[in-house]
Amino acid sequence: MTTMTFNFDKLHDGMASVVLSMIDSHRRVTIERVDLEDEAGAWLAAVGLHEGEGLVILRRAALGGPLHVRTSSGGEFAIAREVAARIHVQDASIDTVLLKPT
Amino acid sequence: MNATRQSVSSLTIALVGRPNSGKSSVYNALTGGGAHVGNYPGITVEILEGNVALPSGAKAVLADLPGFYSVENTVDKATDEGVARGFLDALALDERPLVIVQVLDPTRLALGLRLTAELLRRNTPLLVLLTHADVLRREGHTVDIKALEEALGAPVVLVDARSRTTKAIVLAAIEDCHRGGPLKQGDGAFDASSLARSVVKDVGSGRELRRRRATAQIDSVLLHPVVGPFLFIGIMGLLFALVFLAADPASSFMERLVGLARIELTRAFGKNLFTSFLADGVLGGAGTVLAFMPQIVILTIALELLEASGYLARGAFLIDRLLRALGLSGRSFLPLLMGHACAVPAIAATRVVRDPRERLTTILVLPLMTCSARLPTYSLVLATFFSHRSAVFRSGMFVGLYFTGILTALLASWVLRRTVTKGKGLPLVLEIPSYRLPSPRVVARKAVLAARRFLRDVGTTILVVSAILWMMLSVPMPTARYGSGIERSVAATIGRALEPLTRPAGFDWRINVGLIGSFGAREVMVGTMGVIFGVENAADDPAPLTSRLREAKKADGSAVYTTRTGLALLAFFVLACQCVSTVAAVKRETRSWRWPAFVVAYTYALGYGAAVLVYQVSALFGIV
Repeated sequence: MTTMTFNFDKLHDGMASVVLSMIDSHRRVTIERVDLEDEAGAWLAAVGLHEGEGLVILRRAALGGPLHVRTSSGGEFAIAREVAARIHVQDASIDTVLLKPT
Repeated sequence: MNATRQSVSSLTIALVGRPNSGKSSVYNALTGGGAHVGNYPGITVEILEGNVALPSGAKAVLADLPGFYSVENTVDKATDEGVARGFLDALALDERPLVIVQVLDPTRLALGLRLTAELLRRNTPLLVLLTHADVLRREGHTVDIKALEEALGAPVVLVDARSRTTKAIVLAAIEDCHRGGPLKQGDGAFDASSLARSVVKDVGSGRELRRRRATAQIDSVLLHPVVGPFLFIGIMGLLFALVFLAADPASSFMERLVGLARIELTRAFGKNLFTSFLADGVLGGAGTVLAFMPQIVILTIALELLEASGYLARGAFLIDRLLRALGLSGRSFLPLLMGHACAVPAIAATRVVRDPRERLTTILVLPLMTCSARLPTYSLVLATFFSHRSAVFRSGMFVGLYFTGILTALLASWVLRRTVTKGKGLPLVLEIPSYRLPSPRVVARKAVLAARRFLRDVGTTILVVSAILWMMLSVPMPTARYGSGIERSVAATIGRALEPLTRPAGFDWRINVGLIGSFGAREVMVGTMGVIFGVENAADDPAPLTSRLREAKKADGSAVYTTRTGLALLAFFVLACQCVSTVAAVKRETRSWRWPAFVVAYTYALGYGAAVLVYQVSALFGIV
């Protein structure tokens, strides 16, 4: 029996994606698609969260609060969990990514 | 822009950019800080504008638009995006000469270039203004301006807004742009990320990485999942206390000044109705306005420092989950906290809430927070009806009253978000800006503007209502047949007429008069009751008044006021928005009479309902 931990969706190219809200801190991902209404999705893209954009999850607020992410364009954003649950991403690297002060 | 003031051919310069792009500093550099509120048809948000002289001597109007992310994807007309789009569309429709100046943070170039692409597609002359040149240099980066200009098809200028040469450079570039310039404007067909990568050069051997590490270190403490929220609440609490502690001496000084003026007025013209009108009605109102002024100025400075330093956005991140359950977000926390001292500056502080529906909800529930003006009445009631109980019991009552206010406000926001202010909110996606040192000039300009706005919008309303209330309490009703002084006043006549309505809550005409008087300001309740019961200076020493209230008897010898009356009065005071300053502040922030009327209606309905309920139910428990 296979245990599914995440909400995987089958993508067109056959690869699996997971929603952003499920990703652990310090992981690097790429936005695959955004499941929001057209207007809200377009606004999100204008803000800087669009298909193909790379993200690093810096931290999560307590008690299911927002995610703190950095985009590959250099922006940092707080994203509510319910919005993050609509952002499908691909794990870009298995490596744990920095951002802990050294 | 005022159509009567501006000639049709005068140039408008629209200053646009993402939030935190450095727009305010550029506006300050170009105008020297001078600003007035523009009058743009259909635009309900204040747009500040200032006059500038171009190098040729031609005059232009610089309009400072709110920070926004997109002009093509407007989620709601009331959002900053909607306002910006409405503004640009209105000017395009009028075919007025317009140059758009997009202020862009070069340390986050790719993000800003997405908006550049949208602006280029509007076919309006565009100047791209890269600011924070100093930060860019410190991070060890440089931008290939020429390559960027060619790729965009728009002129690009890199400046440090704090430099003295910035104004001349930018105004010359604006004029060139207005005249057409050598570049053929592009169509916005470029990939923002690739373009940013190709034009930003690293010349500083990892200085940016060092800054990022420093930011990460600070964030690891300030945004810690456990420590962070406590630090935030502590810092906000400290700020809230500082604002009111720092403002208190200044407010007292203003009140003393107005008090002296009242004494001098009475000395000069003697004690008569006209002097009383000037001294109590007009100067009393002016005193209220001036007493609020230091709070407004200091609060604005504190908020600007928090916002500009980058901490406010981080605080919203920390506290968001808690308030989200109630239909609010982390950005509402500060105004809600401030409301415990005074709703007036707290309502102004809701400007930090970007979602219009959430901001409106926060404004509508703020009057329910227990402000300091309620305390004299709470003290009077507790001293009158609960003096025989222990100090611990009375302290518990105080705490209970505070929590009743908080719980009712949170419950009200939950209900409002599902009824009156329901609708799709902006998804919580908040840009977390880099830590920056706020510019003192920008902070000072915002404080001056806030003070001016308060005087103009709230001050005038307070003065007018104060004068009206004086007349109601002082002018005798021509039809009044018995009593003297306040007993024959218009307010007393209304108070008696209201008795059938307020009797189920245990209120007689005298309490009704106190409530009418305290519509201007809650703290007036004690003084008004003192006048009715013939106790001088009841506000300073309420002890004789408490005895009079306890000893007041009906014709049958029973007490007029009982513990039940006290409880009902407390219930009413916790909930009813008896504060004309708050009503005026709601009017100013919502730019309509509909919402202040709604606030008065729903809080009075709640207050009356609760008072009746408490009075009637307490009888069932055998309380007398």
